[in-house]
Amino acid sequence: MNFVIDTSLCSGHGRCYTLAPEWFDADDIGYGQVKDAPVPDGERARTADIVAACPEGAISVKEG
Amino acid sequence: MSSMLERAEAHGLPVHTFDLEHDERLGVDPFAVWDEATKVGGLFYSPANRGFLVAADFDTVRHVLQDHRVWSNLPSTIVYTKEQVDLDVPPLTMDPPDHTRYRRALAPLFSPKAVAHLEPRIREISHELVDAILAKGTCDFTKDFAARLPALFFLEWLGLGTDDVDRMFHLAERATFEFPTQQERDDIEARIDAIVRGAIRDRRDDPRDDLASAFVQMRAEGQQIPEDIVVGMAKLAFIAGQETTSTQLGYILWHLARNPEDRRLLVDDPSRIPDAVEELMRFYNTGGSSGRVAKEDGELNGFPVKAGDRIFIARCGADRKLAPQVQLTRGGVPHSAFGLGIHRCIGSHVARIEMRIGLEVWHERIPDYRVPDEFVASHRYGSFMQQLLSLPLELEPAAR
Ligand code: HEM
Ligand code: SF4
Repeated sequence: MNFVIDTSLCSGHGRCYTLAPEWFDADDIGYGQVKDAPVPDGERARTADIVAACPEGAISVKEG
Repeated sequence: MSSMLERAEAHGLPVHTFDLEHDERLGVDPFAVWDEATKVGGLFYSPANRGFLVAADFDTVRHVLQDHRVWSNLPSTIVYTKEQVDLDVPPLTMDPPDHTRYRRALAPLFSPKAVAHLEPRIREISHELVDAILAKGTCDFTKDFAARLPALFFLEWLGLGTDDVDRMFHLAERATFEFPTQQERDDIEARIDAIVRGAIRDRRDDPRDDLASAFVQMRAEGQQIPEDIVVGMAKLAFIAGQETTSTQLGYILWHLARNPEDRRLLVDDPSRIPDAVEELMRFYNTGGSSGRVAKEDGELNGFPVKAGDRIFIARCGADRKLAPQVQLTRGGVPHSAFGLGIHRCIGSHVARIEMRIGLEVWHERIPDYRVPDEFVASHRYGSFMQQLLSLPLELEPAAR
């Protein structure tokens, strides 16, 4: 399972990298980036929170 | 071309008078006015003044703010007022592709990494303010802390110095609350223009380690930026850098002063402050008047939009509707207090640091405080936001 950020929607709120710095990072101007770190299956509830917390609806989860 | 009202009636859009210029309840309980509006529907028409659509739930708000092809910031006008008042504070008052170019130039100055080093100074100022409050023994939080911290910090960072802090803060305040006519707006903007233009010209020959110098060195796609645009962006920073954070901080403390169990949560574990700030920004969204004007025909929630239609974005109501109660430890509820879409607040990272440090220092030094029993809250709504006018507190400082 991986996170995906739709860069056409991300506007740099920074909720993702504040809530889950292990999976997200800020780029040079504060927009979100997905880190190359796997998301364990046991983290599903937190994953849903992070997707919901992005005000732009820019984060989704890709299975596999 | 049919009017907005005729189309609203033809398409069954609710009509509700939402009058931010005259509704006296805004002075008593502004949040009730927003909550009432969101009950009308996600999209409605308000016949107040020149008439305008209102986006009043999160999906509609997000849709409009993300759909910059239809919903333009040109002209940048306050949509709900009787008189049309246009603003000139780029990059807010621009559309793509100009907006994209200048926002990209400005953003690196305010990125999380660029502003992290300001933290110690913000902490120092916060302590100085608490020192002064404790020495005095009484406190009006809005004036003695919430208004002082952003102004002192931001004016220093900008490079304007703090000798004239009261006058400068007052100008930012007027630019946020007091411009019912175009003439007044132009007068305020001209005054701020003169101040920031002076600093920017000065730094051209004599660069320092401040934001004004960074504005001078800013490039857009490798090109020098025309002075009027640099000054325009500095003008917006001058206004947004002071008044917004101050107002938000006032509402956050108002909540904590009235809810001791929430306050205890933060005193016991200050690492909860960042999530708490987001939740309180959602619930006490300062409601700023983002408006947009349609530049082409389109559709919104099934309603046929015509070029020229005005829409007011009721961000405050939309955010509150997402969850009717405050829960400081929640993570998964978004907010639009910093806006949404391409104009989303560039200053959010520095504003968050100011609010977090301010609250950390305050609660470390003054963990217990309360609102006097006889206090009655009063608010004002101005062109850019609503504000709690005063917040007297009875203090119980920590033993030192
Ligand atoms: C808690 C404090 C703050 C709040 C609630 C806030 C709120 C907002 C909102 C709602 C917008 C979008 C307006 C719209 O879409 O029409 C915005 C834009 C903006 N804010 Fe803030 N703001 C805050 C602090 C700051 C600070 C400290 C700065 C520092 C310079 C700043 C600079 C800006 C700029 C430059 C824009 C325009 C961005 C663009 O057009 O691309 N703000 N802010
Ligand atoms: S929370 Fe959403 S908008 Fe914000 S940085 Fe992350 S992906 Fe981008």
